[in-house]
Amino acid sequence: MTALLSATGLLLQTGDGRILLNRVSLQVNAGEIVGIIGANGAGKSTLLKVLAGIKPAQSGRVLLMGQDANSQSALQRARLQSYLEQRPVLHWPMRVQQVVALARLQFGDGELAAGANAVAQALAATGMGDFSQRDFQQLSEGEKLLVNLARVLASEPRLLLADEPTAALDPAHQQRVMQLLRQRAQDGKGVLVVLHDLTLAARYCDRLLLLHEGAVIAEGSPAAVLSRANLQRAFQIDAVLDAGNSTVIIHNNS
Amino acid sequence: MRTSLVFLCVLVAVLWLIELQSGAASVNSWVALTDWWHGINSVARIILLEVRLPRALLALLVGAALAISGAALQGLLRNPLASPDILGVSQTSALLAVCALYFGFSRLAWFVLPLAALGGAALAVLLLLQLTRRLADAQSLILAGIALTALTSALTTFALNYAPNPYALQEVYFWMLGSVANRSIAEVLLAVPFFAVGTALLLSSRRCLDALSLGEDTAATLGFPLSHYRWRLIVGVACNVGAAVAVSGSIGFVGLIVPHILRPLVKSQPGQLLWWSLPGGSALVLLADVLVQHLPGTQELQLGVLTALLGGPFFLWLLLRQRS
Repeated sequence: MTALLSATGLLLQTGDGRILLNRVSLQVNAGEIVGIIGANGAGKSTLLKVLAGIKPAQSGRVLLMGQDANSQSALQRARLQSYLEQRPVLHWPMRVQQVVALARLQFGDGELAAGANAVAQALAATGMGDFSQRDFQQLSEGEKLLVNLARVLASEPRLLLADEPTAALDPAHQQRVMQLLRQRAQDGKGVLVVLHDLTLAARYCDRLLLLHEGAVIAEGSPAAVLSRANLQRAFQIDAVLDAGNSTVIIHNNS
Repeated sequence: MRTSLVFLCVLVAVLWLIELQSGAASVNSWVALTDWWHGINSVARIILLEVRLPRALLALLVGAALAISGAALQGLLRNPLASPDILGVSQTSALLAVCALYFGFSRLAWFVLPLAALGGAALAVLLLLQLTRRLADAQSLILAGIALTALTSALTTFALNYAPNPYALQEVYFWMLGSVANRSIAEVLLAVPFFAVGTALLLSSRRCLDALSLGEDTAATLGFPLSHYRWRLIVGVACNVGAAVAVSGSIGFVGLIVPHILRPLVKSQPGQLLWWSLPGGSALVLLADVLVQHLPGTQELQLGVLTALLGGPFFLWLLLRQRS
């Protein structure tokens, strides 16, 4: 089976030699959610930006649907994968429906009908259907994030890259977003998601990637990655995974 | 939305016909056209075809060029206060045009003057793009634009003071305030290719401007990386502003106000705004030029003075209305 996304040896350094990504390799297959976890500054968002094609890596290779991502045009990439940024911005006053419809830009005017359908479905899936004519700027931070999630869903990507999609949400909305991502995976799509909430990572992800100082220090099932030793090393916390409830219990943070 | 666009185009057509009828002399257009048809070189024909027609065409084209440039700059910099004159693009363009004109370079070839104006505009947009990387907030960029405007306006006066032409000081008014009066069809033909190329470049970038509503990073992931479109937009704005300045000086406020008025009508879509700005800009400049010719006074007012007189208070009103 060809991986939807496969990256090998991604290296990225700042001008002063600080390593942001240290030979990171990963793979996302159809039908799975892969979670990227790690402390603040571990390189999670940077990794996602490299994979999304926003930042170029200094070395390494990214294959998208088996093809070198660098050989694909920005429009080709946009039709295969979608990226949900950590803090979505909108520079002009627009209605919710317009924001979601921006996801269809890359398909051109020829697919207007399919586009309108995809936009309506994405709005319904995220529960934002009733908000479609509301002014985006007037929404709460959580609602804005749901609208942006609807936007990336509306482009019907085979691979979805999401940077902390649950950060600004209350627990009910967090569950909803993760269930939506789960649904995407069940539909045969791939999801790569950066998460801060380890319990959500344990519950919803098929595999986890633990980043520490730009390098992958553990990879595998949530049970294997969320070990006491790994959590101690990456987060400097004494915590264990309660496998029965898929919950990470933090004992102390000394 | 479509009805408003049709209305706007009809308004432009009506204003254009009124502009053709405006002027000091009373000319029967029908007589002028029949004279032209029969090859009679009458006064009416000369006034209509050699005085009024170039002026009306330039008002139409310059207005469209400035307004679409303003809309493109606002979309590119994601700043509603951006416009060719506020950011100093027109003035930098004027500075290079003045240097080319008064130091004799424009006599080398017909395209030197518009190319110099175009180069000045491109230089200013490039500088502003560099500044946007350092000055993230909207206010700082506008302040930088004001500094550039002041500097290049002063340098233009400076260049004119040292120019070998004794009448140069009078020309300061032309370059700083702008006018489409006393132009010939040659100037229209000079500007048209640049307007056409510039407008085509800007319109072909309209989806990128739409995508940029979500910021540069997201635009890139939507398939519209700014790195692919940056030059298209810079050259597009430079062609339009450069050619407009080369034939009419720097006419203020058009690039700022027209996109502002039209933005609610296109539901803030930057790409759509480009299309609408074309007739919008033409309508504003034609209206201002008709008014200039009908206002009482011994000397005709400069067009740029009137766009500022109309535009300044209107813009303030718009700002106040948005705040409330």
